[in-house]
Amino acid sequence: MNKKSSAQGPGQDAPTHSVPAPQPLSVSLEANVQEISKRIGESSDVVFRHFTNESLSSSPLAFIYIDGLVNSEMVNQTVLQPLMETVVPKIPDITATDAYNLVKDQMLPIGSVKEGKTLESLLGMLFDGYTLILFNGMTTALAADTAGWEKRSINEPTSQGVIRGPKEGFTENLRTGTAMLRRRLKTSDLRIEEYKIGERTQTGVALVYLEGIASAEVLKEIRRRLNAIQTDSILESNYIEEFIQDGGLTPFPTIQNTERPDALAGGILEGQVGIIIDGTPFALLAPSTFFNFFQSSEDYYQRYDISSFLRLIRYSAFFVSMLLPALYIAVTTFHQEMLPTTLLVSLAAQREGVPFPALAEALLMELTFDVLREAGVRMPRTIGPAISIVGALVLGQSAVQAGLVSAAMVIVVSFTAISNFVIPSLAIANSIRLIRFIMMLIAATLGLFGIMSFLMVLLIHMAGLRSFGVPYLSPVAPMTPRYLKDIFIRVPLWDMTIRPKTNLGKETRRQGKHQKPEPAKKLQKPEGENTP
Amino acid sequence: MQKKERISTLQVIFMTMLFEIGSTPLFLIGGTVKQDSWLAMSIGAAAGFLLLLLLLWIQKHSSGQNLMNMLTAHFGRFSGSLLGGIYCLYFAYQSMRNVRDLGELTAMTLLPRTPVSLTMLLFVLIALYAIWKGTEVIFRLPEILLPLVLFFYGVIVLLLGIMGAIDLGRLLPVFESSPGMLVQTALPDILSFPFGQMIVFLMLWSLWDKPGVPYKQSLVAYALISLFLIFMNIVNMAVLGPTIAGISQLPLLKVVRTLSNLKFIERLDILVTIQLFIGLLIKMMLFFLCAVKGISVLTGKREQWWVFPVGAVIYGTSFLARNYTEHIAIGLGPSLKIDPLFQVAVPLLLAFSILLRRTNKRSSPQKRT
Repeated sequence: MNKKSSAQGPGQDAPTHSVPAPQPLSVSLEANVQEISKRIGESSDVVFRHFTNESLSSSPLAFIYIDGLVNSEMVNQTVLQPLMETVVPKIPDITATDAYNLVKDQMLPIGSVKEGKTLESLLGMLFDGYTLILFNGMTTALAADTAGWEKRSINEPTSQGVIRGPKEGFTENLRTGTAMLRRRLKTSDLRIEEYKIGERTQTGVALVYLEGIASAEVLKEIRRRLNAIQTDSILESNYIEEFIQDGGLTPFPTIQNTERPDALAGGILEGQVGIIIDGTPFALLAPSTFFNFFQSSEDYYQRYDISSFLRLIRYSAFFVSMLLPALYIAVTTFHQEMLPTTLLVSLAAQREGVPFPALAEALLMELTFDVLREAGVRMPRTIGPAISIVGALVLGQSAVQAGLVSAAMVIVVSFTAISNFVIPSLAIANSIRLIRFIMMLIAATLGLFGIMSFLMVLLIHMAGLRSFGVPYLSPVAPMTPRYLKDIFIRVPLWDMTIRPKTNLGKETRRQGKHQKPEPAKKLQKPEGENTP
Repeated sequence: MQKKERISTLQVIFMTMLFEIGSTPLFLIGGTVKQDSWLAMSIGAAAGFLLLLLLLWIQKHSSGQNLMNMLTAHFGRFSGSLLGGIYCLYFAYQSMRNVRDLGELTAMTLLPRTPVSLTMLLFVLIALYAIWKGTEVIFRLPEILLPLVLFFYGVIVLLLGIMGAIDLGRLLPVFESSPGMLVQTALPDILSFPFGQMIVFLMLWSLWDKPGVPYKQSLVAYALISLFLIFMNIVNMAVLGPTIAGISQLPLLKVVRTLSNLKFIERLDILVTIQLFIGLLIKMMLFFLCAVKGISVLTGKREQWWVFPVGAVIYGTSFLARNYTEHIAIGLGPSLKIDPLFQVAVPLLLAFSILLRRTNKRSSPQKRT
């Protein structure tokens, strides 16, 4: 990775800007402490502490840690106390190396102790919450893992709620995330690979997958793309998503995001690769096909019949949300003859006093709704009721009464808006929000023919799209009939014997062959005899 | 992009079916024999079945080759390429017919005041986009579109049945026309449209992702879709009767308009138009694709290099007929007379040449080097 020299402004002259060689530690303790202090710029949260333990070494030692990133109690008990209070039986002519080994091997009652030889690696550990222990006369230093900062406790996911199902969501902490996943997948096949991405944020990114189930090709590709990222900062999973997803110029998402550990585990069990990012509760799942975005984890927590029904509702909501305003425009401007006469008369009567053409009316209302929606997200909680009164009553009812828009249009726009929220994934719901506007413009110029043409273009586009080598419309196009059990409907769990794999990777069985619950054959007979 | 394009078995089946549906139910095929048109159509379909067997046999004996390779291999470099070029023109011509059909259909049903040039341009551009994306993408489309089209046809037939519009009595008397008349109607006219158009698959079968030729799959798909087409012909006739069906430009549209007393949607034209739009688009796209493929094989240039020129030619030539009547007249007149040359004569020659070579090889292997 191309390392820009950190903490340097862009005004630095270019030739010296190349990759600086990592700076090894010097023999002198003071020089090292000075250098670290200089690099950090004497920030107030960094604690430097010199001490001497006569029994250990005649020269002083130093601790460095960052207040707030470490658990102070832990630092006191496991680093400061043992080192400062233990009196080692005096060894004559104790050298710095002896002292170093003694400390490393015997005096740190703590899980993870690392060694650092360069300033850069030490600084990196410092920012991860390690406590550094520097020795005079040594060119290596010890770092003890004392990380412990304030974090949010595990809460219910706010963006992906369920009625039945686990109520815990990821938090901003990477380690909490991986632990939640481990708790669900207690198998030695679960792999967690960590990366540090972002020159200045050094964000922890964990690639999680099941060995032998995730496709090796996909994994290789994701690793390659993750390693290729050169950026200043990764603050949220979308940063990663935009850097690694296929097809830059597409309105459709090719990577899922989820706040739910059970959804992540479910995806991983089906051969997807998860990416958990430090600092955000939203984890990523790839490769994702179009149909993945219509599956909700709750589908598997409810009976299959109702789940199948809800799936179909979601697909229709998708089309309604994309097409309804456009169809309304097309039918009222171009193809009035398609409507039954009574409906046509009532529509015409409503539109009589409306000053705008159907397109203007629809655009006006759609934009209004998008404004309301954005306001709803941004506004402070306490003034929420005011917005809903203004939105619902003033804009809706009064606009109709004032004759600015027709009542039918208000119905169309509201139903469109509600349909948009039926789709479980916000990512794909957002993409059709934009497509809807294009659709409306085309409907106003070319009517139904335009709508059909644009749908066809979208279909061709989607048929050509790939997510990490997996065709976006699989398993429907290219079709694999035996994988269709979990696409439009959800068959009972006992019938999903084969992992619905994409065309990459190998097919594996995920449950036994005859799982359908049936009464035992032997029990049936006496029962039959008993009944009169 | 360097990876060789591959199409799966299901894709072959779906494409065969959707391609054969195309715009066929739109027209009344074999209208000259009135209520016996479905019999004429059956004869045409049977003849088409034999032709399909021939085509598959040719493909089997030239494994991995497409039509252009076969032509150059059997007729020599120069005359083979010349014939290949003529085939490309033929494909482009067929493609252009579909473009014009759609343009006129749109003007007739959906957009009476929009210039045909605009709708046809859009249509060509959609196909161009798909071909630019590649053969694999095109072959994915029927997997979504065919179920949709069949579903819509199912809805229409169901509604017609419920409304009691289908009167099989209109098909009586059966065999009013003499068998000779029926054969005359079927051959070569019904054979060349739509059944003989399977010739395009000589350009496509070599892309199958398994070794060999999709014999069984193609034949089954063809048989099923022939039955479907004959069934739709019967429905057309049973709803409208021979007289009205014979004089209307687009009988299917008329059929659907009989459904006007459904209280929900007054006219289901839109359903028909969607089906025809999809059917025409796929058909046109496939002819377009084959023209592009053919010319790219002959010139050795990449397919994407030829997409735009061929598209421009198709769009330009679609204006040649002065009006729809002339367009139809050409389609039912000269066009049907030329079709057998491309669909039957040349494949027969190819088959003959293959036979000759095989017997040569078997009888005198020592003569060949």
